[in-house]
Amino acid sequence: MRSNRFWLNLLNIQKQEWPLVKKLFWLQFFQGAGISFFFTAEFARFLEKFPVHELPWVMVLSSLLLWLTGFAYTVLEHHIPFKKFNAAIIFFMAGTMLLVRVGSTVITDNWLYYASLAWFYVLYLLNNLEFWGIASRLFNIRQSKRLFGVVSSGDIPAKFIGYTLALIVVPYTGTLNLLLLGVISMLISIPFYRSIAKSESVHFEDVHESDRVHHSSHPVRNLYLTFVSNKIIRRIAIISLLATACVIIVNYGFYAKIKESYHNDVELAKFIAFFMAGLRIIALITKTIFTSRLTTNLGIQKSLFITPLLLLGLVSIIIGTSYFNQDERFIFFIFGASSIAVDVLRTAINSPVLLTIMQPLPIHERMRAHNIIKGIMDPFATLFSGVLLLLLLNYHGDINLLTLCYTLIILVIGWLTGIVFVNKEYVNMLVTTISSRYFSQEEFTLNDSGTLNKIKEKIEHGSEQEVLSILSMVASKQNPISIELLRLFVNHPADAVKKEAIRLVSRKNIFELQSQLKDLSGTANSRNVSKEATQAVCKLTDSLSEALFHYNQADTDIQEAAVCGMLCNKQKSIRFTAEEIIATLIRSASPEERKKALDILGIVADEYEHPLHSVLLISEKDDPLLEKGLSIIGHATSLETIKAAMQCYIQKPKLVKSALLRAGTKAVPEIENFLRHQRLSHSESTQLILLIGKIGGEEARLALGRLISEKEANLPATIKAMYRSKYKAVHASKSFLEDIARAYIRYAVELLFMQRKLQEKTPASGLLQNAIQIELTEIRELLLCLFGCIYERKNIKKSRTALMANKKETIANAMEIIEVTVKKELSKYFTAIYEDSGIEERCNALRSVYQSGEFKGIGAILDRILSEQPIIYQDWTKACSLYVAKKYAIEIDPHYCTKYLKAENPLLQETAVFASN
Amino acid sequence: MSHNSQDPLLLIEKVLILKSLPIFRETPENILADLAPLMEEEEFEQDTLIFNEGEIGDCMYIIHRGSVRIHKGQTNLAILGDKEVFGELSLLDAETRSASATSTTDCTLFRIDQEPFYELIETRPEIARGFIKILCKRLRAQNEKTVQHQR
Repeated sequence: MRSNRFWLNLLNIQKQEWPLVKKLFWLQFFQGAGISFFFTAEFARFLEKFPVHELPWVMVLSSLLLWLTGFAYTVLEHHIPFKKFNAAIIFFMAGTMLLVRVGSTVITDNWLYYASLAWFYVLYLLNNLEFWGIASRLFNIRQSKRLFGVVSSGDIPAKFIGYTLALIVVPYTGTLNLLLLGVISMLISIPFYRSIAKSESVHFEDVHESDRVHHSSHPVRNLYLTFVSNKIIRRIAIISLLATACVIIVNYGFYAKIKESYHNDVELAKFIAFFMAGLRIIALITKTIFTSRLTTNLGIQKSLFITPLLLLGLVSIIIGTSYFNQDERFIFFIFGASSIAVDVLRTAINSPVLLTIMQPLPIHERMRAHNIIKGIMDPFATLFSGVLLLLLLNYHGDINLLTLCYTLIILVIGWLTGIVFVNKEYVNMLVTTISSRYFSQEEFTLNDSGTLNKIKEKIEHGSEQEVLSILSMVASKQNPISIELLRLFVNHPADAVKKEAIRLVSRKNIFELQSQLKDLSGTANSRNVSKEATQAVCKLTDSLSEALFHYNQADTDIQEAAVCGMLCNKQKSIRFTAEEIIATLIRSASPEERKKALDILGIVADEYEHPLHSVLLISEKDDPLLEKGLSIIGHATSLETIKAAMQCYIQKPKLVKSALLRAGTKAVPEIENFLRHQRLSHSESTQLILLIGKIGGEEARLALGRLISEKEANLPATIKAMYRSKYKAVHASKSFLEDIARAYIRYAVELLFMQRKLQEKTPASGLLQNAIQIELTEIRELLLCLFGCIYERKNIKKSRTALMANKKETIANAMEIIEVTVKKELSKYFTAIYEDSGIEERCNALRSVYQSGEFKGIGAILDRILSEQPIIYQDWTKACSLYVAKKYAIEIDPHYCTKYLKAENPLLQETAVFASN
Repeated sequence: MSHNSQDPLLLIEKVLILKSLPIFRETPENILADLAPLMEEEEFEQDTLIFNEGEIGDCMYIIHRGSVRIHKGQTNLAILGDKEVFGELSLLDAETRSASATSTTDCTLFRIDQEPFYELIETRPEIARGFIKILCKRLRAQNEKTVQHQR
């Protein structure tokens, strides 16, 4: 058991993943072995018969065959169910190998040698498409990073064994009979495929059915469109092309020189087998042990640089040393080393990482991307390399390794540039994948003539609801607002539209439309429109007599509307007249008069504040009127009124909080002051801090920055409020917030170890398990809020939404975003804590963070919670602990019961009473 | 679950009852802890009419012990047992009851009234999430049924 765990840890595999990984490994093992037998046989036969400069023609031929195969694959995969399709591919590969074996004894023409060797590339492609098609369905992005290296390493020992076996048997059997071993090997892989298809039947279901993805009847055109429209797929495809071209050219140079040293097919096959076997053993070690760790520790983006940088280094050494050392053998050895290194890194790191990058894409796009890369770009790389080599051979007459090195340098620079572009797009892709695409007003402008014409058309012919929604869009998005459009809105036949348009004209002080408003104030059929127009006219006019004309109307509603407008007028004399009217009402002994004043002030609360509003709040004895006074506090309120409202907090907390929210940033200093000087309960202080966050703005952010650095800070509420207020940490606050994040990570790890202890099934453990899970979720939320304040908020917001969706795929994508957005030192622990995997693996991965000993029993956990270490637990967790202790007779310090007897929370208090009896 | 079956339930035990209901299954317990104080225990003897079809509904019921018959006149629509809920939509709107409810055994029910529930939602919107999720599920299922029916 222990040794099994050692191997799983070494290979970075989780316990529950092991059965599937094992089967995938064997599937790839047998198919890889079959293909290596085929390659050894055909490559040796070809080089024995033809000079090495004929090899590029094989590449050209194979590129055509690969395109045809890729085309057939793309068309057929949409017509045949996934399970049957892949089984058919395996049979097809075995069948064609057999055909080549039989054909080679019957046909001895030269073309068959070319075609057979070119067919190796087709087999390689089909195996790739089939295997990665399956693997990409089975794992999410996080698993892919760990497992792609291991599952695909099956072909490495296979090739090692294949080539070694070839080395042993080829002197006795001859090269051609190796093909039969290839066929057998391919057939042995079928039971493993069937077993995977059975155990993972959910993933093998036809995507077209379950995902309701309707494919068009033009799959090839779809591939083209995906290539053209999807930036990251295009970029991955290009770097894949360059990588493949580099590998082909390096290998070609190396084989060409080998061919010069060996003169018969058996010797050549033995060397190829020996060389390949050695290569594979290095690749196996790299792939199984280092790939997953490298991608996990370096991240996907940096891992992509490894292969091209190493190749660039080696090629530079060759070119550099060639100036001092002209020995062909020395250059040949370094070239050989480059060939080994590139081949190993390509198999072990580059290919799995490239495939991992595509994992966040939706499944149908992922499959298409895979087809583009393997079915189109790889053949193109083969053709490109073939043609390039033919041109070089034509120019030089033989293989010049130095020329190949210069060519490689150019290609590697292109490759590296491509990686930079892929990395740039990677985070965008992650964010896009987990975002729901919906219409956003920010994506278009309302000021171009085309849009304006469309809007006019809609105002004229649209329904009332449509016109209202356009009006609100214009009000919020158009800058400057078109007078022409406003006139159309004001003249609209629907009263509701008219009313909203008049409000907008008044709010934005559009003096150009005054005459129309005057007409409406006198002639509108609707009383509401008439009132709205009067208010707007009295606000915009610069004539006191005009305002008084409206105020002196017999209709009291019109009078009220006129006062409202006058209070907001820019002219001091007009405003003063209205203020006096209101002052008289407020000072009145009659509650009705005072109510009337408050009604008027309520209408203009966001534009105007009367100096006597604060006086009324302090002196009003009538409770409903006091409530009314609080409820009409708006955006325009004064500091005096806010102070007066704060005095009512203990009496009317709910109303005051709503008023403060409406008052906005002006209220922030008062709330901060209140928090510092009043003895508030934990829940009240939490609510007020959250309120600051909700108000937002620079003032709120500064206040929260001060509050969090205080010794007795209410950290959870302040962190959440900071995130809500869109706080952005600067250099000094960044390291402070990172320290807080580190502390929360330590707390979360301790909770995880508590959960591990509670896994032992006892009746008492279930309730506590859930309570601790709530604590862990709360810490996750706090960490995300902190990350949002310290790093790229947009990315963290998307991760948060994805984590809330709580689906395996979305969690994996969220973790990936966090990994690329947040500082490594924090993100690696965050992902380890909240990864969707077993608790054992998570605790093992976090052992270094949690230095204390294991929890001895449930009593130790209860003791930790009730003593409020290392965090102040939620009341629910403490109540559960007390309840569990009493119910299951677990001994705890009696002091813990008495401590909570006077708790603010009734649930905790009640449970403490229960526990202490 | 209770410390003594005759004792009134503790708030923590009421939370656990709420958590066991499908509508609150996905709501964390610390949030349900705020809802639990709103649960009012009511006893009904066998064959007592709990509410009548056509009445304005302003509360929901959770069956703690016993069973309840949901019926339209003499036609039985469902027999509900322990840990089942009825009248839950009345927590969100004050429409008339679409059927009557009568206890078929001696029952202990928990009643949650609309008014305090609304007040709680103002400060604890998470509570409404469980409800909204259930309603969405029902709506989707209904849509699916309609589509299948149309086919």
